[in-house]
Amino acid sequence: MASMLALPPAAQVIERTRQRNALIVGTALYGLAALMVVVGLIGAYLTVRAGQVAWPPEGVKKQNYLGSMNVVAALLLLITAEWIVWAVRSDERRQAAQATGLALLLEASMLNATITAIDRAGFGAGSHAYGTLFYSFFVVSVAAILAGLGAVVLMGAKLIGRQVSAAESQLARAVSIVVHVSAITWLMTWCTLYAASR
Amino acid sequence: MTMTEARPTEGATPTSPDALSTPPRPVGDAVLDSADHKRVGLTFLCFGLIAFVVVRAVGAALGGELTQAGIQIVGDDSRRLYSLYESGLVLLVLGPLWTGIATYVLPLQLGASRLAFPRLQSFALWTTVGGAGLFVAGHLIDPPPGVGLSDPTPLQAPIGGVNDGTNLILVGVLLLAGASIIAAGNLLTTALTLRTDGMTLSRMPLFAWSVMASAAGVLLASPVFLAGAFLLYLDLHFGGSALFGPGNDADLVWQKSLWLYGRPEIFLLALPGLGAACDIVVTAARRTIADPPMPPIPAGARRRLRHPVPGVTTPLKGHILAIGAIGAFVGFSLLAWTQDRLSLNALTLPTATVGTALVVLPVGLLVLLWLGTLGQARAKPTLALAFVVAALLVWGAAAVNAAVAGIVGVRGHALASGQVELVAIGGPTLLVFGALHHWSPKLFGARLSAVAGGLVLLSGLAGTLALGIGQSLAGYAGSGAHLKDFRVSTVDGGIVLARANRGQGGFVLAQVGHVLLLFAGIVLILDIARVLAASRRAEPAAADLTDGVTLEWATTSPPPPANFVEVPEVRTEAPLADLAAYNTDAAKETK
Repeated sequence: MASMLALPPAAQVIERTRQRNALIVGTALYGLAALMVVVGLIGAYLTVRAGQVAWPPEGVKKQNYLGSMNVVAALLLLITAEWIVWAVRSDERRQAAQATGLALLLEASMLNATITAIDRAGFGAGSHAYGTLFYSFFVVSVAAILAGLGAVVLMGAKLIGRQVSAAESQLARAVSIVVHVSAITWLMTWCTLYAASR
Repeated sequence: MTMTEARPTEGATPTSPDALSTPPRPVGDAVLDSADHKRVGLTFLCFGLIAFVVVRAVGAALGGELTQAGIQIVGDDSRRLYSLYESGLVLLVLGPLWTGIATYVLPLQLGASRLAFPRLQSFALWTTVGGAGLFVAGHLIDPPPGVGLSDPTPLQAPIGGVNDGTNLILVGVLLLAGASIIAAGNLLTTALTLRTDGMTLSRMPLFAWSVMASAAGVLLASPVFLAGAFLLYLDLHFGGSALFGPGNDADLVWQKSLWLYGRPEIFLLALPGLGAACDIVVTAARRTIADPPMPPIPAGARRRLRHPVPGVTTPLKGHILAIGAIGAFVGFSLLAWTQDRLSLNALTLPTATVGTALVVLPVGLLVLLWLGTLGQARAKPTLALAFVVAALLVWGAAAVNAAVAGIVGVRGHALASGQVELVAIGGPTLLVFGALHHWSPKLFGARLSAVAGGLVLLSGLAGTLALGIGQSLAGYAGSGAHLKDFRVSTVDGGIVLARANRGQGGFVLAQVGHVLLLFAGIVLILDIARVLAASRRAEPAAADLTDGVTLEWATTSPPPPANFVEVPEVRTEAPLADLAAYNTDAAKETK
């Protein structure tokens, strides 16, 4: 047994810990945690809705146009995020810049539409239970979109500074995960407040 | 002041003997400015231990009032202090203590030189400290509504609007939850990405596994807590009705998202303790977890089963089974969380929910594996091992208590509080103390005193049992423990807590428990302070490969800035045992 396990001297096996894409894994885990916030809100929403007769309450007018436009933007954002990663991995710097610019526009448009939807809601967080939950979802969505916007801006700055390459594409993947989370957050919000709402 | 600190270079191996010595830095800078996981972990530990003494002192003051009618210690502050006591034990004590131990020990066990995101863990530390400060201040400046997050019913805003105290408590809770998510994500990323070469997931030490599993549980569950706290904030500030509105199921939302003792984290607080207990057993036995006996099957089939998976020598490998038990514990904890609103009874009656009952199974499997390992190895008894036995005794007492309560049918609040003290607080606290003793050479530079440790063990065990059983006895007698169960009467212009005359003996016993636990905490802190002060003056002790079988024992005590001069090769889950066997063989060949 011992002879089978015979190890070379420790000095010869000093190959150390290596970074295994900690940035990507960490971003994915924190992104998962962010989505769990939305999951928690969905659980509260379904529980509260189950005890209500009229849902949404009378007088609530859903902004279907803004919500649906945001869905289109979110779907485009999902594709654009993958475009960024593909472009960086292919060393297509021009395409990476174009994809990043498009992502920036899409994130900005989502932010604009979300804030406009809040502005036109016509009720407050304290008006009724729906209002409390509506504002909770929208505040979380705005936070996620701002995070996505920040990540895309960072990506743009790195591209301008030529600090991203095919050999070091981890940042592009991490940025794409943040963008994905911002888009999925809105899709979950839309499904809950718009598509599945009675 | 040093503005920057050189980040340990990933993959670099310090070969100079200078790497063994910690460069001298002012203590203040070293704590405030550091992203070294060891300093961050120690600061987490110091914070948790100080919080332990403070919260236990609050508990002793509250318990003193219950021992005899008319005693005034905290007077009309009792409601807010009860909230601080019950919530503080989870948010300020056990959470930071386990985070601190994991922050310090996990990279050492993995053969890594740092955490995945060193600065982020420092950020989590100071967010925890800031959140705790706001949480405590909120309880001190204004009475919070109700008895806070420890109550199974939602807390309402006081008449006239939310007060400053409630504001501070809510912001403090949001910060604490955010910090726990940040720390958990960092620890999980470290375990997934920074393992040294050869350390596959199945070869990871069991404490590292338990940290990984509980971090995953926290990442899944704490965001829900965060969402609930945000809803509560909107409700209290803007007069919302998500939690308090007519006709909705506010209690259910509250119990599943905000009520501390109805959440899976309450079980997850025990999980790192189970992993630490596994490592304590492995270290005492100086071998891996023993493989269970093969089932009685025909020899031919047995041969076919022997190599079902490459690298796994037997289909029932003890280490893998222990990993499975840890995973099952997390799964069943989350399952218990998703079940019905009997969460209060889940702690009182283990059969109240299927998920809660199933949690017992992996713990039982682990205990059998420990007994088998210790039995096969002629293990040397250690103080840390005694703490593991003490925790099992406490949980055994809780199981008996729950069975009796199930037969008798008691549903009193005092009984539930007693069970919380035994299951959710007492057992994990004893395991924290055991882990501190087990890893004390690495954490503090030298072993903690055996005499002081014995005192901590005896007073901790006796205190936990006295507190839990005392409160349970009061519950059997029909008394409540929550303040809302007490009638409030005015005597000489003051407010006196009046209670039913039954169960007073139980409250006296519980008060003895409070005092003993407070004593245990003070003794432990003094012992740690003594050892830390001595180790600052001494040179780091060289690694002794006979101390244990996992990688943290392959470095000096305390470890150098980059943790290792060289990391032994990992081919099994007990790399140091392999190295010792190799050295023995080499010595024989030389002769």
